[in-house]
Amino acid sequence: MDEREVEISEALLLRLLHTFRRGLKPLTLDEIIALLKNG
Amino acid sequence: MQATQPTVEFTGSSDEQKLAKEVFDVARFQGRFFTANAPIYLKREQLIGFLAAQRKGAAAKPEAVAKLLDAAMAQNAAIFGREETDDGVVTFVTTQAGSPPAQEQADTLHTLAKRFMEPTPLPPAPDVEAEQSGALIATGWAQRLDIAEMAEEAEIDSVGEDRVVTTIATSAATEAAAPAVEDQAAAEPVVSAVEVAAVTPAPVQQVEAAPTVALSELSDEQLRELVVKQLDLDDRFVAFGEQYFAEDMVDRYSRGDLRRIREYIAEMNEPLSDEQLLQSLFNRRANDPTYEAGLFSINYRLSREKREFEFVGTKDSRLWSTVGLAPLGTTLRKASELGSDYRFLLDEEAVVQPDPAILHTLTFYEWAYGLLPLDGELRHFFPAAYLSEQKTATLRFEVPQLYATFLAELRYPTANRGGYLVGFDEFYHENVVPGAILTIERTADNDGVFVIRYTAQAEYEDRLLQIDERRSRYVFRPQMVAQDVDEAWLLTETRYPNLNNVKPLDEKERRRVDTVIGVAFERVAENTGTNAAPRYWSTPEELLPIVNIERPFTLRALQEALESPQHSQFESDPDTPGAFFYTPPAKEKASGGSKKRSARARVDEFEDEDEEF
Repeated sequence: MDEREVEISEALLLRLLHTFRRGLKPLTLDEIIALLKNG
Repeated sequence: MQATQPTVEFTGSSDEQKLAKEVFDVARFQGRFFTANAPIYLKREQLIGFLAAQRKGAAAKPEAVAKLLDAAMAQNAAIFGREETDDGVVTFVTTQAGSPPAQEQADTLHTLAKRFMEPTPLPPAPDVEAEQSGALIATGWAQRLDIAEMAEEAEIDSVGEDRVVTTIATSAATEAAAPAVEDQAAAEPVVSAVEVAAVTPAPVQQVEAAPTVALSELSDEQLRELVVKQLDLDDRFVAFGEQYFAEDMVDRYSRGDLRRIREYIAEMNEPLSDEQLLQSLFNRRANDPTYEAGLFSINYRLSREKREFEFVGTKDSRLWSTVGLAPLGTTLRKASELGSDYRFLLDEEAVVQPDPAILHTLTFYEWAYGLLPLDGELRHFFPAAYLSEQKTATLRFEVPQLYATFLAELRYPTANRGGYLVGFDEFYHENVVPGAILTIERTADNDGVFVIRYTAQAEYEDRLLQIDERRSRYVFRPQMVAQDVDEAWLLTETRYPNLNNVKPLDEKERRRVDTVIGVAFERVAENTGTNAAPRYWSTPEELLPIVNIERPFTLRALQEALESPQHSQFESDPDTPGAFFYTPPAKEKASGGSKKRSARARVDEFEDEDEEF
């Protein structure tokens, strides 16, 4: 994992965009990470 | 107007017709401004009175008129309507058009109430199944490519058909192996199939290394790095500090809006917060559902206008400054000079400060220029830069004892300049003395606001060191001491009489650490040598308040300088650990009456003064 190139999938990014649109407010990095971890 | 009125035909006997016409004329006259269909009411009693007054003799009798009127009205029911109330009052009604008014039917086909209560039913939902049935992308393309499975299939196929295997081997970037395989396949098909099967696992492993990794496998730090890296590269996301948002949801600001913001900040003459700008200039209220998005937007947009706006805030207090705003803090020394003076702080080991309050003893240098150093203790006490390129932060200090508040500027350290806070001049000069012990506290809900206190003590007057700006001399002047002070840092005339009328070092001399320390020795240390060959003795603790008159020092920096082999004029006292001797350099001693620093013994300084006056 350490050496491998990893990236966040497009589906997760789209879900993040959707979260922004639904919540109408920005998110902090910690909140985004919590969201990604909780799916 | 007459021409537009319809002609009315009356019926009955000639008398009745005549009377009916007379009544109709009265009605038309009474309703001359009415619309054609508006009812004109004529009371029977009043009509009888009127008609009787128009007649003479027997015909003028009301009974006769009443009889004729009733008969005429009955004959002309198509023109006059008759209404009778419960108490027997009869009223005839007609219209300009010559017909009894039609009963108006209220149009209740469309009413607002009905539309609210019975909304139009929603159109039927589209047939989802029908839509889905027509797949736009072939199933084979829509599904994720399973390389491992394909490879297995290839292995199986390769036994019977080596051509397929060769293709996969080529596509998997085993260029070296593939041509060889093809060549061999032409000659010995059976053997080649086995060989290719042996080759194929390598590319399969390569492809398998790339695919999805569960986020739970990553540590928080790795995930953080990944998110920052990827969102920064993605145009659909924008960031301000540690906040992220969708680019298309960020409010737009016109050139005019930006000009208004700039002018407002300039008018208020101090950095303003995003909330203040949004509420005052753009009438956004805190209970607006998009308020947080609005705050992000204004911060993000202003952060893009680097020529006009500068972020000088913290995480909780996001302040914006603009060009042309008066700088905070002392004008006696330039920011670059102060930064250079504090350069030694870069080597200080930072101490993490979990406590919400910190004590600080004010040095003369800090008092004179209104500063606080960003030393090891204070570096982590004050907030770090919120944006990576941020140079300064404006912090608000509240003094509950004085019911006062003021702004100070935190200048972050750079590669070759130390960090410090500036802007305390007025507070220091009006309320405290050098040596005062200050308590600085964080506030719970805002990292841009601090509370500064001092312990009040019984007031007394003492003669304390100050700078006479006009004469450019250090002088002792009476000053009220009304707070808790550290006696070691209180520069009183009784303790340091030699400092009176001493001239501050010039800029060139100040830059040399050894010169500043040497001068401090000369000013206050004990001369264990002779007047001709002086040798001063002191300890760093005693020297520290004195060297801090000219430029900032910490005890560590002072000790390092005294112990440094570069400065041979300082030597430690073998008999008293921690104490040092200072022998002024020989060449300077030789220069006796010249302007060199060693000549700045107190006597010489008085001579200088005499020369001046």
